[in-house]
Amino acid sequence: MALVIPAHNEELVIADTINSAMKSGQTERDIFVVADGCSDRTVEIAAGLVGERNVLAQPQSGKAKAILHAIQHFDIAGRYEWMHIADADGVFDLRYFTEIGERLAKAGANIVAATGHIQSLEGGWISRYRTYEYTIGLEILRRIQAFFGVIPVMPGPTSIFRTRILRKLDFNAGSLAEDMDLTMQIHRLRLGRIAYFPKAKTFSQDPKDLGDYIKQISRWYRGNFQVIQRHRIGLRRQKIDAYVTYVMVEQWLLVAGLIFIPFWCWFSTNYRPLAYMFLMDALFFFIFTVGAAARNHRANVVGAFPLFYILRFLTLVIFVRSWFEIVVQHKFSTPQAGWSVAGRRYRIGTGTVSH
Amino acid sequence: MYTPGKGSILPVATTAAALPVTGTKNVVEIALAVAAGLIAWAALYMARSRANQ
Repeated sequence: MALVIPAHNEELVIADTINSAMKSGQTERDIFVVADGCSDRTVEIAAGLVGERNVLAQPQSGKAKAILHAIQHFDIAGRYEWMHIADADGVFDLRYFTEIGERLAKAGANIVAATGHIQSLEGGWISRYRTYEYTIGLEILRRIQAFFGVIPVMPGPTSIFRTRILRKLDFNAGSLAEDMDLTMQIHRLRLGRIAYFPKAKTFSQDPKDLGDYIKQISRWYRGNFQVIQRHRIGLRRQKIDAYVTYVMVEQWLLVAGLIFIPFWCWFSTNYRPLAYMFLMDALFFFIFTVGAAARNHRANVVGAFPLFYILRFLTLVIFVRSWFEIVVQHKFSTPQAGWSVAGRRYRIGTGTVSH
Repeated sequence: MYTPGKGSILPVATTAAALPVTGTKNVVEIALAVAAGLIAWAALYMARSRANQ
């Protein structure tokens, strides 16, 4: 399996990512770095670790095109059966590639792609919220999605493709969410199943502050709506259409409820429905937060619990705003060659990863 | 990449559970007390975070 790492000015983190890949079972000669418009020491650091022959430096063209150029330049499809794409800011668990290798060796021919588990690196209160989100979103929802064959996205830190499908994929979509776009192409073209390997863990960096969080979530949701429009999701008779439609309807019901119920309570001067809603939500939200903390052995996740409401509310507001920008205003319709990592990177110190 | 609606199933489920509203008269007072407790907790958390910086 080839590991392809697209990078854009990642001098702070690229060495940790490459070193952790090698420690977790990926051999040096099978790691490839494509430096997209890097003006820092990314190329020099990567070449020092995997050799100059395994590093491709190119003018900035965006993440998806950088991956495509790496596939062509290094002849990934001709030399390998599987290709793993990983963001340059993650750290792999010590058994990550061993686990992936064992699972792929047993995978049937109908498995054409796979994704592992993401865990948040230790950090501030936003990382603690992410620990909650990843536990609910991956430990529970991802397993259900995998069972029904409706995984909507193989995320940037852990996307694996069988190389025979690569020539069928379009890397030129110019989407803000290239990982979701590629995943949807697998569904639309009926190329095969996507597997989920929960024991293959990779650690991801989270936004440092609220401003970065808003930028990141905005990009994700804008990308979500772009992909939904591009692939006309919800309009065809595929399982993925049913699932994404269900998720969207659920989200809009929540938005409608949060607007309508307080207004109705105020109008009828009966605030009991609102009180019940809040108390039930707080109870279940707290129980799930304690569960996430226990699952990840991070007691400090519970300590930040009240602040999670701020992020939940912000996320919902950004969801509505992104829908308006993409669906109503048709913003961001020109191909995107940018990266959204500027300012988000930090050196991964010792003690941030709990294997 | 964000799974659309990740985590949203929880508030929707609890909203649905809250719909058959009956009973307790002082549920509004309880909710206000819980909200006040959460705000105090958040303030304490932020104060401690600042002190540790």
